[in-house]
Amino acid sequence: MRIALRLAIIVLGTVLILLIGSLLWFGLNPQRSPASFPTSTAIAPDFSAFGQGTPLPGYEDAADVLAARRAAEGPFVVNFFASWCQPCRLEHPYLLEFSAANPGALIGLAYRDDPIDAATYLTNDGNPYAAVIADTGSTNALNFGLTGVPETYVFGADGTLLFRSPGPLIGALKTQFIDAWEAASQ
Amino acid sequence: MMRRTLLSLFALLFASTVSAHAQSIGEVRAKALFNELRCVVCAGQSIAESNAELAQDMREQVVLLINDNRSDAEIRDWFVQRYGDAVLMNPPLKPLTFALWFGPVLIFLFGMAVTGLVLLRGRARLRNKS
Repeated sequence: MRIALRLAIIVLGTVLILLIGSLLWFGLNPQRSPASFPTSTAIAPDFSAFGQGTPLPGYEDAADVLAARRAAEGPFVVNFFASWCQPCRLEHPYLLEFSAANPGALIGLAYRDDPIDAATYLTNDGNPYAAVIADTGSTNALNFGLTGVPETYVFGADGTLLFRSPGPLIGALKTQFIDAWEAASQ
Repeated sequence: MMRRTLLSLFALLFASTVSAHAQSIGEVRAKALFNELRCVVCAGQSIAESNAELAQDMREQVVLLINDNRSDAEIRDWFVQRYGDAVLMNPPLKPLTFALWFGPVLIFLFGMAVTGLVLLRGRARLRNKS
């Protein structure tokens, strides 16, 4: 009796320790950043308000986001940025490089930014976007499940979300982005 | 004449309180929803507590959806569709979250069982000695 009891406690305790241990091992894995937890591709961006926003002064010709999406005729990339956002400047050279290699594929939305400030930023640092508007009222940001800037979304031709970068396209995120884009373009 | 002006003044006052009350139903719903939705860029704060820019945007969106006559459930779904379950302060009950909901209870019960057994055995030992 006493042996059976002791055995039961040992077995139950071991199971509990293993269970909690594996949960912690999964949960505390430094590769699994809590910031990336909500930013999976399991969400469904809502395109109902896509294209609604304020044109940037001097970039009115490039304000038709929907036309740019149609013209892309294949996969396309949506990038949220802001002139006040420092990490955006880190990925900006790569965005210029990407749009030079894939003309027409990159659409820019300025998040919580003054249209004049956003336009100045693009004029000074270069404009990588085939179409760009200021996301007035953050309508598109919320429809896309945005968590912050910069954030980049890779969409297939039919508008399905293939990859989402919850930070600047540098380092590992850049590599993942390139892989996703190459897979989407094939 | 004086009485009539007074009466109409009272009527005006009453009307304004009625409309203020009608407005506050939406406000009460908005406040409740603010507490249910997580600010996804903050550590464990609801959008009611956070003053992050994204939380401000989310609060404005909740008010917009309420004014659009959406139900609370529809508004929650609106955010879950875009941000996933993580946007809810109370995670939904589903197989993936069973450990989250029942884990603490199970651990507590196990602890109670072990404590009870240890105490019972101690008592039995004492009884054997005496």
